[in-house]
Amino acid sequence: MKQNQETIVLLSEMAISDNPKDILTIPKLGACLGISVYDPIKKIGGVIHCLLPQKIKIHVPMKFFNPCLFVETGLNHLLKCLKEEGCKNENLIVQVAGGAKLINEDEIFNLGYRNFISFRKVMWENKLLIHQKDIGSNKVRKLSLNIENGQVTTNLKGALEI
Amino acid sequence: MNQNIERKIQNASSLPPVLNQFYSLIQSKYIDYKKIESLMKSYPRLLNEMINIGKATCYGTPHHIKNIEGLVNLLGKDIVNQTLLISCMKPILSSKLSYYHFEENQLWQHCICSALLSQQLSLMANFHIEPFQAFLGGFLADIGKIILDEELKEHKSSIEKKLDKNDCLFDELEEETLGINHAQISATLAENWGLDSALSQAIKYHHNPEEAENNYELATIIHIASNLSIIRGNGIGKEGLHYKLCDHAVKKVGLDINDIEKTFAETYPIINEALLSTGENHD
Repeated sequence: MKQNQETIVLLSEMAISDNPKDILTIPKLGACLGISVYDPIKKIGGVIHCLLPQKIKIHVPMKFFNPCLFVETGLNHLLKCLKEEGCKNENLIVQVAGGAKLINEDEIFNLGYRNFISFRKVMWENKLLIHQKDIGSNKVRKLSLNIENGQVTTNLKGALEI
Repeated sequence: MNQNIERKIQNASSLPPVLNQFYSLIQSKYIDYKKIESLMKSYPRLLNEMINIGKATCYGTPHHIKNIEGLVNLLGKDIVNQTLLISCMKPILSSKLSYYHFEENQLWQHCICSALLSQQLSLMANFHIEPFQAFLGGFLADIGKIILDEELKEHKSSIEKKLDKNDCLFDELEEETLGINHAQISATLAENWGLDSALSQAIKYHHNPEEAENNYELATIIHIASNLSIIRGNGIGKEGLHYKLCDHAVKKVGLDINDIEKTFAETYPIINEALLSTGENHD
């Protein structure tokens, strides 16, 4: 019997796999975006876990800089890596979850919404369509991508398919 | 407050003794490392963990730190204090909380994340707050969830109905259901453990800092840090993001959106490293 292996994708990380046993998971998404990109022809997929919309100037040692902290640089990076693996733009299925907000966050800095706007901008620039989304509100989400069939779930219990 | 909660608070009436002994030794002007070494000999797991966390929180320092003296000389007293606190509290904070939907270690990791964010904010804000006080406040602010977890389970269905209404705040819901919220319990525990009363006041009001009679500044810092940890995805359980970020608090600290984003971006390597060094990461 096939045994799945779960790879946890931490904040600012990316995971790519072509192993059908792999499930790429972000266990808890708040205002962060979890983005899943899957090619059903080549059966390769990747997940990124981004916190901020766009790259900003920061003072951290270069070795700790990770493009996947930001939606804009992270999604472009994931797409580039998948294309290097032979994936074609027209086959890619992009699904996104997260972008939640605190009760009154609209009035303050609304990070989740700005993350989603940045995501849409990169999608438009790359001529990609959003296949499914589970975005906003006050709920916590878990995103999992099953490499075998490209199925994405975003419910904490893993039962709800988007 | 019901009797079960009162009993649980009483049962958690003291900090791990090693913490108090260590703090009294390390606060003196001339640190007696021999005494510290002999104290730590009884806690080898703790020493190893402290060294690992210490290395991680300092961007991976050289691997030759083998004892407390090396740790203090390289990282400074504050980081050593922090790492001891983190290590000592692990057994208390790492249990699974089924109502809040925290897997093993998740509450502990949220506490670390809030503490590091709180410390970073204290350095950025125009307040005179000791960074270690901010760290301690951020670390202990949600410890009361351990006490409330079992009690909330009994009211699961009524709470979930109310949570469906988007404008419902979870700390208010705890209070409405059980007569007390997790912040008030965290403050009571801090008080029982002999920590500064100004610190426990700040913890008590970390969801509504405008109500803090004293130590408003620290309450504000902890408030923002705790919410940032939730936004980041660390501190959220079943209640989701049913908390509010007080606009007034953000303005009072003098931070804008760019500062908050910068705080996130500059702390993420430290937080990720600290969480990884503490075991499996469920961030």
